[in-house]
Amino acid sequence: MTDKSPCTHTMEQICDILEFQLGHEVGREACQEVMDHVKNCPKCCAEIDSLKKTIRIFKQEMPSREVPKDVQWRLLKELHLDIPAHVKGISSDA
Amino acid sequence: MHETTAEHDNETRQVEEELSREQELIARALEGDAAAKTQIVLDHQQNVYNLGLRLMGDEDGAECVLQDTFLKVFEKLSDFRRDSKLGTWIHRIAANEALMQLRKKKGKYFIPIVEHPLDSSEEEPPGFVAETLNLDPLESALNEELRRELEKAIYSLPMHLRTAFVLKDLEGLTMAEIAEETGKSVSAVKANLHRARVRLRKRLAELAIADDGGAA
Repeated sequence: MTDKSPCTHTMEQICDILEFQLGHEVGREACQEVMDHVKNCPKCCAEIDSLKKTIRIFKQEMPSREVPKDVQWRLLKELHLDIPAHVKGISSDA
Repeated sequence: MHETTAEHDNETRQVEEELSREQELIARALEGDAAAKTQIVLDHQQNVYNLGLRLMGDEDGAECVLQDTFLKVFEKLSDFRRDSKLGTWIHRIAANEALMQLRKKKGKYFIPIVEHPLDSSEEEPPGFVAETLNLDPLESALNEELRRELEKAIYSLPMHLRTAFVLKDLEGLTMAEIAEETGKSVSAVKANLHRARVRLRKRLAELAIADDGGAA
């Protein structure tokens, strides 16, 4: 875990991406300029905000699927383990 | 105040009980107790299966990840150092197995981002408004159809972008862990992650427009 604020993280990521795209290190000064700009630019703030919302939506709403019974049956069989009652009755052809 | 303390104590007790149960299961599994192994599978199979689904993009791939993961779990259980939760360790193995299978599937795994310069069409204006879909992530629940669309949006990402997004934003691995798992630099992972997020945001915006009947 880290004590860095989300903003600091975001800024560092922007600099990392810039470095990768430019193919060379972005100096501390240039990085600070970018950070200063982003903090005070409504468009950049909106951009970051919309990406954060995208992440939250996917993280929250991605369905968690139950493992199908036939998949459980094959897994336990592959592992040579007992098949619990709730999985029994499923054939490997299911 | 007392209630908060009581709740905290209760939570602590639950965590301790859970850890103790886990330790007991591990010890029994190491002695070859089949019932304990089955219980470990039942406790963790859903997380592994969902990770497999998200990374592989189909049920067959997810099943392969599931089987290979648990084969490895029981093969390596004696190496588990117990400095993390069993679920975290299993999750790490599952991510590794999925990445190995993706490599096998495609021959080549991560495509360097420089070969795919950022398509300007991916760049949505920041005016994207999730609220159009009533998608307040903290309050509203999406209907099943939209959930399926979100799932499809992730599956439709190229492998290297999907991997970065799933492992970081959905599964919570650190950039360093993803870089290590994928054999890429942290900067490359971050760049891929950003591209994935931008594409998914675009898809969300399209869904918002569709939901709105195409109205401006």
